[in-house]
Amino acid sequence: MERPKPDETADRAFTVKVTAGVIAIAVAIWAVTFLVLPVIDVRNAGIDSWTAICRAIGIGSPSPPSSPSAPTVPVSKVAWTDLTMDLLAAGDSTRGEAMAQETCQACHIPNGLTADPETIPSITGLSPRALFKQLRDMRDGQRPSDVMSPMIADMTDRQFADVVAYYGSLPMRNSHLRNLKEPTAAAMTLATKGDTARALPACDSCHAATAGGPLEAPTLTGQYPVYVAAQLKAYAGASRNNDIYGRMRGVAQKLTDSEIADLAAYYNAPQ
Amino acid sequence: MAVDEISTVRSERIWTYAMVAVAAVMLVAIVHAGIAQHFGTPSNSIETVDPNTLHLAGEFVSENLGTRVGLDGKITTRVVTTQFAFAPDCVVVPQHMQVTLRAASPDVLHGLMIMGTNVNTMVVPGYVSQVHTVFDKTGEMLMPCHEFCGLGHSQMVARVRVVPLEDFQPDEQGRVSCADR
Repeated sequence: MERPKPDETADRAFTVKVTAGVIAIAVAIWAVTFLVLPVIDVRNAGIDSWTAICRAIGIGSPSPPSSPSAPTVPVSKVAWTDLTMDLLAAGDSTRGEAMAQETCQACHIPNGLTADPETIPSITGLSPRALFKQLRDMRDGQRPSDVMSPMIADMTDRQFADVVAYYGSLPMRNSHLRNLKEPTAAAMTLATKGDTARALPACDSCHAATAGGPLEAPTLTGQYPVYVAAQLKAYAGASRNNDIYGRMRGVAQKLTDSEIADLAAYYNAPQ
Repeated sequence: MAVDEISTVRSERIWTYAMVAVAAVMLVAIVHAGIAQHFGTPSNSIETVDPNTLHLAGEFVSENLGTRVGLDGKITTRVVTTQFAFAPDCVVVPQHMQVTLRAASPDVLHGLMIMGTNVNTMVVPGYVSQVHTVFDKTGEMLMPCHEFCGLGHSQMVARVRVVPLEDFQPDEQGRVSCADR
């Protein structure tokens, strides 16, 4: 069949109509989102219409609503700024090892054992960020410790970065198989699934070896059960409170004593 | 099958009308949500905040969170969404009053919503999310995180307690918290 000759007049009229239609819709949407809705929002935002329109197109920075800011006593002064991250990245484990031999190893033995499991945690293989946060908090007073705080009072952040690079590079404590108990079903559930009814996230979502969660969350795998239980109780009673935004206090307060004991045992078990 | 010019043009026209109708319906829906249901655009409150130092100083320090009646009488509820909890995990708000909810995240992308209200926003690290709302019914409602934020996401939920205005008694600093009640 021969292709019919295109009707150029009709085509042009159609093109004009469609183009006009598209432009009309674009203008209508632009007007609604940049003019109408911002002006309507003004009734709540406490700003005038002109400011609202300017902000809708990205001009002008709003000031927060008037509210007196409370006096701040941060539960931890550690912040994961670029400065802190660069400092940790520059941590030198060779210098750290020398420092550890001088100061740390009497209690925190490089094979992962410690002099007193209840008060001295196994720190080998922990993330440098987790260790750095606790060292800072112990030195700066947010997690005061009779032994640690005076011992590290004169250490600099750079020295901390070196020491944590060293301990972070060591293998984790290998739980002694003879001492292991089978974790209870309740502990397994709490650690791997959490408890939605109590808004308890799974412990493993932050504390398993490859978990996400807050950067300072330590891996608990292989930690001494007596130490884990003691820290959970300290959080629950708020005698330890250097967790930012109460993330651990909130969790620990919801746990029963038997759950604490079970969870501590769970993390000592090899997974 | 051959298609003649007339039927091609007719087909194009039908589809053009259909697409215009779809765009128009969407536009009407947006306008309706914005005007009648007050689903605000975020654009009038684009505010940036440093997520790394959120806990050190400024509006979102722990002491400043929760519901507070400002000196100007405006009610503001501030929450921090963090892995994997809301801080605070329970807030009190009055019934039939304008409440401004302000949220910030120190770590990753979170979100929050309160069922049956217009409160539904993402909380993006680096920005303050702000929603204005009025709670019509008293009672306790759940405010879950609705943006996947990590392995503990499904347990991340806060409670919102809506109380009659006469039971909404701020302390001398203008605060009202779940613990006082």
